[in-house]
Amino acid sequence: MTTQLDGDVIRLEGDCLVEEAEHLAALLDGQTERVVDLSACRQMHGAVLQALLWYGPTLRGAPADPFLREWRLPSLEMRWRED
Amino acid sequence: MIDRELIEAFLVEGRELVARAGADLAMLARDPAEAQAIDSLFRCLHTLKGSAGLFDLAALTRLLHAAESRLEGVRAARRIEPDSAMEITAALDLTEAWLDELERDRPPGAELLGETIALAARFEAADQAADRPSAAPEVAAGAATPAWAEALLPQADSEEARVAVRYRPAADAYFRGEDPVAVFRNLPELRAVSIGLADVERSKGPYDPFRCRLELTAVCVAPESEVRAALRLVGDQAEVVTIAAASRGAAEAATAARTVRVSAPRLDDVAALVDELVIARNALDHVAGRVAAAVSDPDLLRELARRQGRLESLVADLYGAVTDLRLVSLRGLFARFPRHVRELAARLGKAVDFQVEGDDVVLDKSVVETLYEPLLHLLRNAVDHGVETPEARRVAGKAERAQLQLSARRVGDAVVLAVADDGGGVDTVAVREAAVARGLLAGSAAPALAETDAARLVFAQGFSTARDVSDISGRGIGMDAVQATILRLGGRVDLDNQPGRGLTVSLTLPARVVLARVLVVEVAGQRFGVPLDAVAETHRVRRDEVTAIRAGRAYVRRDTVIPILRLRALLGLPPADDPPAFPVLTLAAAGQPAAVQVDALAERLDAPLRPLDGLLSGYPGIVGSILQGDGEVLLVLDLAELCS
Repeated sequence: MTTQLDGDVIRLEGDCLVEEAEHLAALLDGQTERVVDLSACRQMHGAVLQALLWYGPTLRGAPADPFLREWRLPSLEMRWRED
Repeated sequence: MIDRELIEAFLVEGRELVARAGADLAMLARDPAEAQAIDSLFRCLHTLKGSAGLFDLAALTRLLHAAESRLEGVRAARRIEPDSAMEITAALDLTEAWLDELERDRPPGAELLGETIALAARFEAADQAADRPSAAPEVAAGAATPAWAEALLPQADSEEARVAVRYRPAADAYFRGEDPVAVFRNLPELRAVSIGLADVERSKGPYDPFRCRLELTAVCVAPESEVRAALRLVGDQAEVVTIAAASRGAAEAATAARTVRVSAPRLDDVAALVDELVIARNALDHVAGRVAAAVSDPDLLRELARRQGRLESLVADLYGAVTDLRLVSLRGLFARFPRHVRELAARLGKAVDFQVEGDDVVLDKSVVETLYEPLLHLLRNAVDHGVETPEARRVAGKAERAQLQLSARRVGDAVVLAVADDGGGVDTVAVREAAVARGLLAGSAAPALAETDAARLVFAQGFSTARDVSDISGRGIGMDAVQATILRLGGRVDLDNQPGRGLTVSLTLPARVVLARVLVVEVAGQRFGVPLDAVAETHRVRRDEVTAIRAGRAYVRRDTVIPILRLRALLGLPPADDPPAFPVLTLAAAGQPAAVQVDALAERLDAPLRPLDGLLSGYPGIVGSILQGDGEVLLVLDLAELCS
């Protein structure tokens, strides 16, 4: 399990593959107060990224993947803060 | 009432656009088919027209629209004809005249209005005759580049951006095992990336996590073949576009738009505050010195010194950063001259090719603002007196068209501005005669005067050799004013006179206003500053080392006889008997050595040097003042001038 709910914080850990997308979407659906913590995330599949773009939760930390870090994606960057 | 702030912005932007368009025209004069220059010129006029429309300047808008229509035709023909280039130049000159009027907050005069409408009508008539379609203002520059690529370009370095990619994976991409993000991660030489959702319609139905809705765009600098190779597995889901040169220009413009304009007075306020901060820090040093004398706790004193040092370096960095903020390029200033030179040359019947170089050099804003008059004087002088008529040039075996160049370059900590012409140069024989006639030079001394010194006589007050005093220059109020202005800015003026072949006047200016490093000296109970760079060394001289030489006094140091001057006497302060030993400053200036005697040496200061204004400005022997930590004003002396 690389997508975990801890109180109101959803933690993405390690490599988040395509199958995580469904779990993540279920955790975010209708839960606008939930925060997604990316600090332990290494890489994410496009489907996971898409769920984040769709629900637009508050993000915490940045993933280790230099591609995602460097190209802070416009729709995410407003909430993307380094700890 | 038009919003003044908006006008100010238009004035700045308008002058920049006119300057850029002027540079494009200069490039097109060399190569009339230079596509990038044609596109850039078109964009400049298009933007100018848009802004003019904003201010309800109907005549100007009409002219710019007509000029833009002409450029539409130029773009279609892929080259500019000399007639068009001349008329566009005229349109830009008129635009500048409008900007001048706007700046002075005046409505355009009847003459300007008439010229503007007449030129617009000429454009329109010619275009109708040629049956060119009128420009549709909506036509965007670089239409070949799709909008999604344009959006990314500002993020990429425009110079190298080459290939834009848009990838819209199929809805079932996830089921097919594709990861669009991984595909993009592997693109070669990425310069910009955007990943977003395509066609978002959130309200419809529940979110399907496995339906791909991503849209990914990127700009790469790798060759197109390499980019295509990286995308081979996604096939026709990705579009690859090579970006046209014109769009790179658009990206530059967009990057420029991301900078923030701050009004000059606000910047000055910040600079003034930093000056105050420097002074406050100096005041703290003063207090710290007293604390050190009163406190015996070594740990506390070390801590104080450490914090003080940190504060000092931070203040110095801040001062440097704010000084850099005040640096502006010479572009706006230089852009104002071509029109003057053209008009003047036309009036005097002279053929002049005017070139501007180095307008990207930066200088402190206050310096740039002060340079307009002196440079205008020099350029007028060059066209009026330097450059000969085409006939005279032919007789002299020169090309009929004279070359006139205004250039700027950075040399170490200084900026050298030069006005160079290939005209007749300063006639040193006539200068000698005129100087004798005006009583500036004894008749017997004239022939002995070196060539360079003779040429420099043009700087003497009230000097002019022009046989006919024209209304342009030659009233003898030019060169001395130029010299005075440049000296006040802490610079100097040099002449390179080649009789018969031309004259180059160089203005050397400090590139930035710096914190003056000043040594404080005491004399007759008063304190004065001396710039440290004027001082070679300081030491004490015993009274018994001093010998009287003729009317003065001197001492020997390292086998050199050094005359001693009393600062008291130089400043006209009451004399006093010498103590058994006293400090002297030896001067760093070249030439004869000299030592200046003071009562005592005090501390050193780093502080912004303010030029003197009001009554004291131009007072000989004083370079400026420093506001000290205790609120006292310290006058900073020009020892070299005092001693001369």
